[in-house]
Amino acid sequence: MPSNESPFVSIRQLSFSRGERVIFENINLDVARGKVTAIMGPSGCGKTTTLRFIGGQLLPDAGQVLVDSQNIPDMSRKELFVARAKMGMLFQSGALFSDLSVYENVAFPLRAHTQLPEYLIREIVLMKLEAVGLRGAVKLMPNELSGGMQRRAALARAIALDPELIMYDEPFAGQDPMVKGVLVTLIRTLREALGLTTIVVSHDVPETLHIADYVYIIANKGIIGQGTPEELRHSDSPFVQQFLNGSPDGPVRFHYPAASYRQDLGVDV
Amino acid sequence: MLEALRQLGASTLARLQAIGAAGIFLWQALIAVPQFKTSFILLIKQLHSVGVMSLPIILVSGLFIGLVLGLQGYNILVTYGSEQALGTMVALTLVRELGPVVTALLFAGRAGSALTAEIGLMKATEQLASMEMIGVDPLRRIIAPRFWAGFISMPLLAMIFSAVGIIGGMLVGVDWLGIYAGSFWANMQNSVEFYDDVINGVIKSVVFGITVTWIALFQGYDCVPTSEGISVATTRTVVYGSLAVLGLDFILTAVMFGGF
Amino acid sequence: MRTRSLELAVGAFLVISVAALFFLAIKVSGLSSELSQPSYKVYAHYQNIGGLTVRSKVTMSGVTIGRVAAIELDKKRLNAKVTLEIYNDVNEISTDSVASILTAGLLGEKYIGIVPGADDTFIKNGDEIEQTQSSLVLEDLIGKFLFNKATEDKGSNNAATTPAPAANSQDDF
Repeated sequence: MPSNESPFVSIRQLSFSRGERVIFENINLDVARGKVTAIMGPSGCGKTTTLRFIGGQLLPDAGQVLVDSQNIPDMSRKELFVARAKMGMLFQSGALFSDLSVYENVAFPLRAHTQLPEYLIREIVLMKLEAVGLRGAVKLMPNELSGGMQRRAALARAIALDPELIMYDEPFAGQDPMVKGVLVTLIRTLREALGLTTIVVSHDVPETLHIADYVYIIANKGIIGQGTPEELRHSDSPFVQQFLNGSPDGPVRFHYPAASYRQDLGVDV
Repeated sequence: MLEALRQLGASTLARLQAIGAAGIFLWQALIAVPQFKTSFILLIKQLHSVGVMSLPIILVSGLFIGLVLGLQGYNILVTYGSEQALGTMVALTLVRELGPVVTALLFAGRAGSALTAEIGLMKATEQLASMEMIGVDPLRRIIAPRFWAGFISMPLLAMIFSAVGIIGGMLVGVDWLGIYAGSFWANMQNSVEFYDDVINGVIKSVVFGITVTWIALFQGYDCVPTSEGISVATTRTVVYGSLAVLGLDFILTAVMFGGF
Repeated sequence: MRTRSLELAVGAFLVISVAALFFLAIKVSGLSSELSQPSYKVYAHYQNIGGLTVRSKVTMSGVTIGRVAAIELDKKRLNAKVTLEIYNDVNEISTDSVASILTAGLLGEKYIGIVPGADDTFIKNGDEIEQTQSSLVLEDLIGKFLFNKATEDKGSNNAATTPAPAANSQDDF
């Protein structure tokens, strides 16, 4: 573990299955305070599910999810409501509320969790939008924004309550290089300026390794690799190497299981 | 053979499970304690999008159905020399049956499918999940106002439909075909009972409103969050909603007017 | 703001629906003329009420003066006891008036028509109308017609007596 303080998020002995498919079996994961922790892995391995455990949207079958020393699955609705004010999440699709303006979107968490008067809400909204560079777009509707701008507006909403933890779900997926650059800058700036504990879920290797302080690679129901980006680059696990280098073949095979080629073509009988 | 039976059993169980999930969904959406000021604003907004936006189709359809009822009714009644009964026929048909039922079917098609698509899209773009993450219950904020809007709008729309239809029947019968206005209205007033006919029609439309809105909201909430899933859900809303309305109509008619 | 026009639209929607409800209540079902008109109760006994139902009209000279409030079996007199509610402002119905069960049109619904008599005393709340005429039963009419027809033929043929068909009408005609 890279830090001496207690981790902000601690997942212990967590198991979870969907129907008959086991997604996680007894995994342990720590997210250090004030650092950027990346969770990576191939598609469908359960990275986003991890975020849902932390946010209390899913209950694990077994194990603990400790956020700031409180176990999320044990919480009552009221406690969860309070806990969620400490977390911000940027969803993959931005997930701005389509019937509200950018202003109303960013103001939404403020109205839900606080009783602040309107003029204070206005100040906070403008500050957050300024931080992501969208103060001029404050009156627009979400469908008038480009994809990258939607993500930034959603980010402003995620930090509206000044959370201690911020989670990014596939922030780089499908974005052009400029937008990716903007997001990388924002993630780093927010972390440095606000000391935000950050979790980034992604399968975008170059960007993620660029900004992460610590990386977990999840696959096959558990964690198959963890460490700082440097450590991982020099790892001798063939799976980690295949994943990081994007090799088409390795421990994860290229070919879908099938009978022998000669047999299918009718050469052998 | 056994395989077919097994599949039948499995699909029945799956349907029961879906109905159960829908029931729990409805319960949770309704018992959510409203915060009066915000809920009221949300309700007004939904009343507009569900009720007011359905007015054009209801008004036009009501008028046309009334006109046709007047025409067809006249043609049939005149062969028995009973064209004076046209007012009665148009009014009873609309108030007891066509008003609630056709309004419900139109509602399922217009407002129901719009609700399903809207909620399905919110689910697919993770708006529901993000609202939950912020700590606001989407059942309370998104689903409940829409449910109450549907519950309130349906009977109102059905009454408007019946009223416009009767006026349409009058336009055809009195203004066009020359039935004496006095007997048109007098016969109607003598045969239409407020409590037995009008109120029963309103009760029917309340039941239909609950059913169609519930189906629409659940299909949206439960859909597979892809564009294909949304289109499947929207189709289901219209089909299940319409079938439910027709089936319930039979049961309600039998109880109210058939003396079960 | 947008919410203002929204609220206006919703308000207009509600007003239109209430207007529709009133239209249905008053113009279509004639509710106002029935609702809470103060009335007094009068009783009448019948051998056969035919298809008379509760809430059927009570008329005099074709004008509605009340409603049938209740129909029950009088267990002592073994006939039908009908409770009529007559509007308070129609209070000069003489005690020898006749209340008959009539049919609207040929196959229409039943109603009670009151033909006023000549007495000086008028019926009050709780009184009974003595003179009543039961509903015409179609089968009895047909039976009578056939009986009369058979008697005619018998008379004109001057043939041997044919046993008369049993008359099963017990109405007080």
